Amino acid sequence: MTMRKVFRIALVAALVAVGSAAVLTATPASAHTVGNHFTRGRWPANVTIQYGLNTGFPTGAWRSQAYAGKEQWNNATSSGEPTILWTLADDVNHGTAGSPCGISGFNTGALFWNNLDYLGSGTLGATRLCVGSAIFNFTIEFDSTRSNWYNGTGDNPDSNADFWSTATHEFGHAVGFWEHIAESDGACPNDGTRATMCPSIYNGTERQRTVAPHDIHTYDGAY
Amino acid sequence: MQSRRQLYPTFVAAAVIAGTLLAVVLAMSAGPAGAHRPDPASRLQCSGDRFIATRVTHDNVTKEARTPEQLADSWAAAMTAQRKAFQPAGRVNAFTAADVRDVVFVNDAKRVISVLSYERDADLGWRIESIVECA
Repeated sequence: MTMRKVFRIALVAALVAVGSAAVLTATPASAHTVGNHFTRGRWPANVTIQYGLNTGFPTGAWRSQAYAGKEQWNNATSSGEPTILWTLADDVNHGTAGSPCGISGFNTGALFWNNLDYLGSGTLGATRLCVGSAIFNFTIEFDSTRSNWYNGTGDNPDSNADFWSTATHEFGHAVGFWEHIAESDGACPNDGTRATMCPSIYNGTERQRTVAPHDIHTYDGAY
Repeated sequence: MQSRRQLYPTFVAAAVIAGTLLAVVLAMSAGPAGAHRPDPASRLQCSGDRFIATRVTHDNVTKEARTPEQLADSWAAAMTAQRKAFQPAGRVNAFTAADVRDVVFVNDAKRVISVLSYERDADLGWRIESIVECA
């Protein structure tokens, strides 16, 4: 076999491999499929989910921003998606965050204000779903020990953790958007276009308060 | 000009090399969890048909010094206090890779009742990503 032939074989092989890999590994911006992100089920179609605030949840702006977070998903609703209402009782014992199946009746949830060190350092919030043939209940808990929460609606000053962004993100999990959009995905840049359902919430930003197009098209695809 | 018969070995050799290169590229582009990490929910051995799924959200700066095992024990202590039905009898590392760990708790009957999934960030340490457990 001549060197020229060997070179020709190698060149053709390299071109075929590179072309195939580019096609097979590409992640188009619209590739946030329901199957990849709603991995723990969905709520029943057109369901109304009621939630309340457990004993100890702080008042004032904390409640306003939690409400604003869930409204992001209500506002993104198209046909078949759940509607979340803040209509259960507040400041009562709804049970424990670790026991979402114990919230009163189906299609209910509760918000908790807890020390989340048991979930690791740097934890902002955690969402739980009670899952069977569908999603039945949810709980969300926010870290009560964090000293750098920002619960306002303006620019997040310094390096604070943005409570509104965290609330929107956790309510995204509560509606069934379970798997994060990968940090390496084009929807998760470190700038103002970062999608709400990207993994981490960057301190000192407010960019994840409102749902982004990639959040919405995935959510709309699930219901 | 070469005949079709003369060119055939060239195409076969090119195809073999291309396939090998493609397999290497695809293997290298696989996620950190690797291809053989089962869905944590598939490990559960619940007696009922409901389970609890937990998703944890972190900030982007706080470092974690604890190991997955230490974090799992901390979580188990909190859950034992929150839910009487949760009575773990043992902890097992079910999946271990360089930056990924699945830790399970079993009950007295050696049935898996919870699976905690951790991922290690090079700068921030081990972080729990999700948990599935029997309700």
